Amino acid sequence: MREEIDTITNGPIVLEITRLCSAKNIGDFEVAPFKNLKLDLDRFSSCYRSCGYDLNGMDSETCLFKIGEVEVTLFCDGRIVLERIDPDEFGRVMEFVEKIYNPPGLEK
Amino acid sequence: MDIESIRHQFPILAEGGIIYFDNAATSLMPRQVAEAMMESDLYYRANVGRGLSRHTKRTTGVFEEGREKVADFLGAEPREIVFVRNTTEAINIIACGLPWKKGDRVVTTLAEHHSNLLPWQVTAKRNGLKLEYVIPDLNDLGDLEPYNKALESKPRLVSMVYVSNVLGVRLPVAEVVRMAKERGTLTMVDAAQAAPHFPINVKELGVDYLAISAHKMYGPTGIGALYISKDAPQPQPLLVGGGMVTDVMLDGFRVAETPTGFEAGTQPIAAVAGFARAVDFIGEVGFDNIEKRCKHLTGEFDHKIRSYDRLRVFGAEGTDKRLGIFAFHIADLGVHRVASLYDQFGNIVLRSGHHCAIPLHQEVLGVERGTVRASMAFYNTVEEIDKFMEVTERILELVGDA
Repeated sequence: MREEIDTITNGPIVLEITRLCSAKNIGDFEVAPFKNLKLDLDRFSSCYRSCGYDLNGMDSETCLFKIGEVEVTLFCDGRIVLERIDPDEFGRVMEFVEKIYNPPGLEK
Repeated sequence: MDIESIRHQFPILAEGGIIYFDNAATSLMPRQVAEAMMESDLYYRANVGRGLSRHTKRTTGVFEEGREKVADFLGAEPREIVFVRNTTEAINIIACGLPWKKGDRVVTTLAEHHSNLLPWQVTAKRNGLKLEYVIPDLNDLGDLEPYNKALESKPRLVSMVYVSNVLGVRLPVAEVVRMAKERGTLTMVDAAQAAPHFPINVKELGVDYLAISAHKMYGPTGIGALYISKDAPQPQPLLVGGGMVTDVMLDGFRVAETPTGFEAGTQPIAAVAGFARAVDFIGEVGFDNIEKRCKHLTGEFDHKIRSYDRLRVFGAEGTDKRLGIFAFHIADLGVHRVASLYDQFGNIVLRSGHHCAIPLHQEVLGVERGTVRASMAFYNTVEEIDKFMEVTERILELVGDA
């Protein structure tokens, strides 16, 4: 499934969203931009901290954190793995993508 | 065995860059298999079995030679080998095609891939069958008691996997088939994961039906084989249409004998040519070499992965119980997160999720969210295993105490 989003740092991008193997109505998804992005994960993670998201680990290539119960793995090329979206609905994925690409406090 | 020269036959390995540990899903394909398929399409292209021209006969010859090679690979007669798309289709043919009676019992296990569960669930509902599950003791595979108990009341058929696609353990198929035969129970074996690892002889096993997929054994996707013993009840075909009949009337048709009766429509001729070449390839490498090398790689991986306290490996310890397939967790990290980190940090191809075995994960392993799976083939190397362990350490460092 494809979606478009306007991002603060990379402008409008097209995303391919893939449902990953999951069960019991809790969904896991991969979100992959069609072009590789270059995200400064230091800047992004500061914003996530300010938002109160729970940071589980970070280095130059990846940032692991939680938004509520949803586990987010964000890579510097813009790829995202979302786990434990409850209920398991495609429609909910973009809610999280918006929070990840465009967190409050992030400047262009 | 010159492993470097073998790896050069696989363009993906020769190019370098990736570590391919997803062989239980699909093995890589050597160049000669792709060339056999291309040669078939470029030089032998015609429809099989329906032409008198010498050109068409040559195509038919290549196709039937493929059947002979697959038959030989399984110790069967060519007339007992039906070409199918994959193991899933093969099991569907047996499940949907046998003449069931209401109340018949079918036994399978909780170690199965969905391909050996869902067809039986559907058939059970449709025909009023009773479906029973054996819970195998994955730490003591020699324990035949659960099977013995399930077979006591002489079910109509038992269908089970030879090697688990999640845990890599070999189930006691030979013993169960023997026990089933003593009770007059039909037997079906899903040998998809077994075929690339060790020789199978259907006659020695005494099995009635057995299925394999070419893409698990260095062959093309979209082609597999179903063995139907000439002494077993012949099922009704799943698909009907061109090429599978001896006569068609206005009120019906006569189905040709096995295997023709199961091969409706134009066949995937190039894929059969590739399948046959993959069988040749295995023969050239030799199962002795494959088994020896897989055992060595399994031992290395088993020993190294178990040295990390925060990794949980599922299933039995030891190389004699496992065929290069490892399902694991890292701490309590999500399985897709873990697989994506291996990809990002080491270009290592793994698989995450339930591996089409949700009941095995939830009912036997007690795992809701699936596992991460690393599955090796004989062409993998100890250096690749070491790289995997380096990335494991990086992941553990990244997540700290999380």
